[in-house]
Amino acid sequence: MRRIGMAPVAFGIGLFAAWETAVRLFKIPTYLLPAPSTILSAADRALAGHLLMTFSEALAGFAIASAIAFGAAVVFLRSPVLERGLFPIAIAVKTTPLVAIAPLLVLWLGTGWWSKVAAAALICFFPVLVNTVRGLKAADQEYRELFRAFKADEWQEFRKLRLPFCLPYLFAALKISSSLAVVGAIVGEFVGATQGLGYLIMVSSAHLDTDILFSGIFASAIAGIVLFQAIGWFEKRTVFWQKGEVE
Amino acid sequence: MRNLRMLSPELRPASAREFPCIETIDLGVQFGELSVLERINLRIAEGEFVSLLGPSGCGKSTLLRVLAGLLHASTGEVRVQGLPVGAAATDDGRLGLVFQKPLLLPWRNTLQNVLLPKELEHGGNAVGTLDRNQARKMIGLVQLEGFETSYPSELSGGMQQRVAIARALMSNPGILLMDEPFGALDEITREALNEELLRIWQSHETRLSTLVMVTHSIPEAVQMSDRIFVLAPRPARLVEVVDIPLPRPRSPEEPELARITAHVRRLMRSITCVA
Repeated sequence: MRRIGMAPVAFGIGLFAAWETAVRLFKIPTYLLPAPSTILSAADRALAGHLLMTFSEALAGFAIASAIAFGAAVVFLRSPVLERGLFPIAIAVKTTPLVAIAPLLVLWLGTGWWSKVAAAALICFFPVLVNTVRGLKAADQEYRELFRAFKADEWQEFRKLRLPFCLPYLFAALKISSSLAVVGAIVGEFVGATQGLGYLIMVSSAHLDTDILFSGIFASAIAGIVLFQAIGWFEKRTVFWQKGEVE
Repeated sequence: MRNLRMLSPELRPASAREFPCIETIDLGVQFGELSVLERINLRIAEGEFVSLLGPSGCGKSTLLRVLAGLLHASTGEVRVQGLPVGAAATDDGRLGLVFQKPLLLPWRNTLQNVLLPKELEHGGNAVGTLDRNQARKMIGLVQLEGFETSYPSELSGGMQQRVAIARALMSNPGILLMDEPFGALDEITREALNEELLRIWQSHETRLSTLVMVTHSIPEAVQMSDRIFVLAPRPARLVEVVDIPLPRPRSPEEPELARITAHVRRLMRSITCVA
């Protein structure tokens, strides 16, 4: 088990070592492909500031979207009319590319923090909604009969049957959204920002500061991984009975 | 009341026979155009162990659901102790229910699963010491001491069904309705659990007196019951009531039992051929 756990670390180190060697050996210019060591030295306090900004936007957008999507799913469960009416609209919003909507968000909410939060939220909303709707209906008809035989009221059925059955679905969605949230925030920053990893990537690519560009790319990956792992940590403690994965 | 089942029906006092424990009068169920049950008339006395026997998909599970009050009759009516389902006159009229699947909640251990009906009854998460003691007693009754903190995924199919029985007995029902309770288990486990069930039914630790079991197994029905209601399919209707006035435990080699088994088998074959 421990050996398998170490495998990704070993492969990661191997990849970076090969990369470093290749760049030095073939004397690849920095503006095309900087060596990992060069990228690391480009990581400074400014990068940390940009990372923190993007991370906070992603986290806020993720949290807001998840809360609203969960609430909407509960409403959909209670009202099939609303589900039938609003679901197509949710799909329409989902299928519209975020890059197309992002300029509008900046126009409405300004170039500051909130337009990025909105972009992150917009991209997180749909997976959580769809999976929660599915998860809340995951308890078999027979389980619901059992609860009816025990004269459970609707709240008890929700709290003690539907919600726990929904949790694996919810966490699967939260994992998807957590990585999407960072994408949303960065797309928002591309359109108009003075800070954040998206801004850093845009500016550094325009100046051919490829080492800074790479540091921005890695930082955004780290932001996504941290969020994803945090959700996974909570999942293991909450959905302890679930052995397999729910997609 | 408890000793009633020890007596033969003729010796029971008239008052107990006056109101059958469970009675259906011209009971019918339709799902849209489809008629599932047709003019079913059952009279089940208190203390009886009866089986509803029929081929798979003949509507016997539907019948049990109507008896349990989970489905409404389209025509006719169901009476428990002379009253509509759910309005039982005494505690002896309370229903317990066991499904074919154990239907345990995977995030709850044995004790928590058995306590579920009490939680739902009281509201909130609070269960008293009294309920806990009752739950431990029921877990003991189904011989699962030591597994109180095990989760369903750690239990075998037979053990899971034992937990389901303990859970059904939590409300101390006088009547237990079982829908092919051991149908999903292997033969050996099934026989062991059938013996267990008879032991629980005869034990004095519960109020349990009347038992209605849906089954499609002829040997099971003949081994276990005082009477077998044989149902023909599509729509389900009662074709014959078979009396088995034999003491328990019953050995399949007993000539009288073998004769009844052969009779029921012939009966079932004639039904199935028609269908």
